[in-house]
Amino acid sequence: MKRRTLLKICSLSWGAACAALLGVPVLGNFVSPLFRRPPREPEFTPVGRSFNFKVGGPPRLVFFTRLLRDAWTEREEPVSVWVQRLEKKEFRILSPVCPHLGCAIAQDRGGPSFACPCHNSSFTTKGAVAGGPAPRAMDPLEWRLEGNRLLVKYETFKSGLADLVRT
Amino acid sequence: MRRVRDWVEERTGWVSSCRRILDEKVPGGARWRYVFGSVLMALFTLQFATGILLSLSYAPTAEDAWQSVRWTTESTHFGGLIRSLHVWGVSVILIVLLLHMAQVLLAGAYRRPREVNWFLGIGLLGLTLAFAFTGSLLPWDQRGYWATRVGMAIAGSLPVIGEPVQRLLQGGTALGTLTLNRFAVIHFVLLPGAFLAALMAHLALVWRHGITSPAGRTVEELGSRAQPFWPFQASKDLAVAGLLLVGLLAVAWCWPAELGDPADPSVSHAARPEWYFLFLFQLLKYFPGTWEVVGAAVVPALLLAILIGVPFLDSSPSLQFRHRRGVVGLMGALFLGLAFLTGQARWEDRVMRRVAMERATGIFTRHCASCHLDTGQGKHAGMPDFTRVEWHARHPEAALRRTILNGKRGKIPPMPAFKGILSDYEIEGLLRHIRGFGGKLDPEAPPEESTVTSPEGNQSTPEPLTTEEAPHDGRRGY
Repeated sequence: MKRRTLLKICSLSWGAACAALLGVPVLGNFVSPLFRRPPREPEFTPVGRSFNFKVGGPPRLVFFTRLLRDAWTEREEPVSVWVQRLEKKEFRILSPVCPHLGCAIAQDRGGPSFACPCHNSSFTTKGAVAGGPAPRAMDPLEWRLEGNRLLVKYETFKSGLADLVRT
Repeated sequence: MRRVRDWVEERTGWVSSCRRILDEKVPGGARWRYVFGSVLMALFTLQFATGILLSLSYAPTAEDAWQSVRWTTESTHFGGLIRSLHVWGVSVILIVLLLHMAQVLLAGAYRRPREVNWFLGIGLLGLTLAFAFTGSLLPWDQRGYWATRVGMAIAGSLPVIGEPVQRLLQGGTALGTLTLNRFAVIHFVLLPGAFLAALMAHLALVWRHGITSPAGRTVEELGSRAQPFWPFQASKDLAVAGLLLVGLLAVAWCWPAELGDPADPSVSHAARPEWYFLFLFQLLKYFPGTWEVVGAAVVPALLLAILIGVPFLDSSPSLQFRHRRGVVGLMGALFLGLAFLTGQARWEDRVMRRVAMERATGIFTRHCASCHLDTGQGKHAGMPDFTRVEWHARHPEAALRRTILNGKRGKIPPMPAFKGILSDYEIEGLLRHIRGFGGKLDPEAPPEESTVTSPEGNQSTPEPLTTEEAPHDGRRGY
């Protein structure tokens, strides 16, 4: 083999080896968000007193905050849910996050049905898809009554899928 | 593959340009002493990569900066290693920069027609130092905070322009969030932009003028021994660059970069700059009072003027080294002067430290022994017994330092805070003295602050230092 060819092969392999060695931490650090998990299991958060909701009344948007661990900070994030009281002890709580691409779902011209202002997905009062590009019904949220305190487990689901998958 | 190459070549000419650069003849043949430029390029590439990664989870506010850096080192994969590479990289770069300059000086490569490239090189050196200075503040730890505070005060002490310059750099009258934002923008945006522009110009001129040929050879000799850059010079460049990078990786792995305690203007801190700024720091000691401006501005400006003036000091057309003895001698003397100042700064610190250590016994007797007793065993129930090895194993140095600084409340006689009463060196001496009671532990090596569970860990002593505090210790890189 010619000296020049040998030099080329050695240089390239040595350079590639060094680059690969340093590439491990550099790329490893870069992709660490892929391995980051949501910080904790969502908890039931109180959203109000049951007697504040009328049985059979129209859906109401209720605001509250949840404690969020966000990188090196911990902060209170304002969130909202659509609450309907069906029976004395029966509620329907729907997430206002559109299953299409995550916009905030509003009431359709005064309600009681819903519509997303972004891409015109529309939903019935029960949350089922009535039209537009939404791939699934509005996301139902788990709730619980403790005396007259209404608690909801606020969580988010992946958008764009026909099935409910937690983010 | 070939068709893609031809397609690109026909439209851009990039393929043939690359080939021309790779086939460029090195007159007189490849040499080890030509490697420094390429090695610097490799080091700077790593610096850019690690810097971008670090900036992805950094918040330049006084509230958040330190926390975000700690989070990066602890909660991202290889975060501590990336930061260590970035921090250690600066020192390696500056050493190689010095070697690069020395090679240019010895070869006379600053002379006509390469003067502008010498100036660009000095500009790149200045930008590198500016990177180092602005970067040291960003973690907002004690060291960076105090070093910047002193640096800002130096800028502020300059006549006439001092105060406006200081305010513009700080973004106000004091160090704070605005300063951090400014330094971050300078470090992340302005300096990289200026650096890349200067580097492009530097490389374009190298390409235009070629490498300075070795002296004492005829044109024919140089021509007959010439070798193409690839693979002859490139293999040498790659060998050295690779070795240095792997070495840097090993150093960063074994000695994680320190993240000191968060910046605290109330706690005295013997502010010392990084080693490459120590000569400036030492210089200030020689110029008291109104003469300060000489050490802070006149001497550094003179140094810069001499550096820039090198191509004019040596205008002899000869490549022979003996015609350049004057300039090389002058630069050598300057270098020795800087090295002397750096060494002196180190030496004086060492002496100060020894004196403070020697005073430690006296300090302990005066301030501590009334409760902790001269034997270190503690007068009251619930006080730590300094003679117990297990106690030392559970208490990292940083935690002890915090207790000494902040004191301790409790039912047993509370311990006063020594913030502002004892100097850094005195506290260090005191720590050694306290460690000395523990006998079996090596007083020079502070124990790892791991979660060593001691057999009597459940003792009802009101411990002020919980294990939760331990991760705050600055020595933990990651």
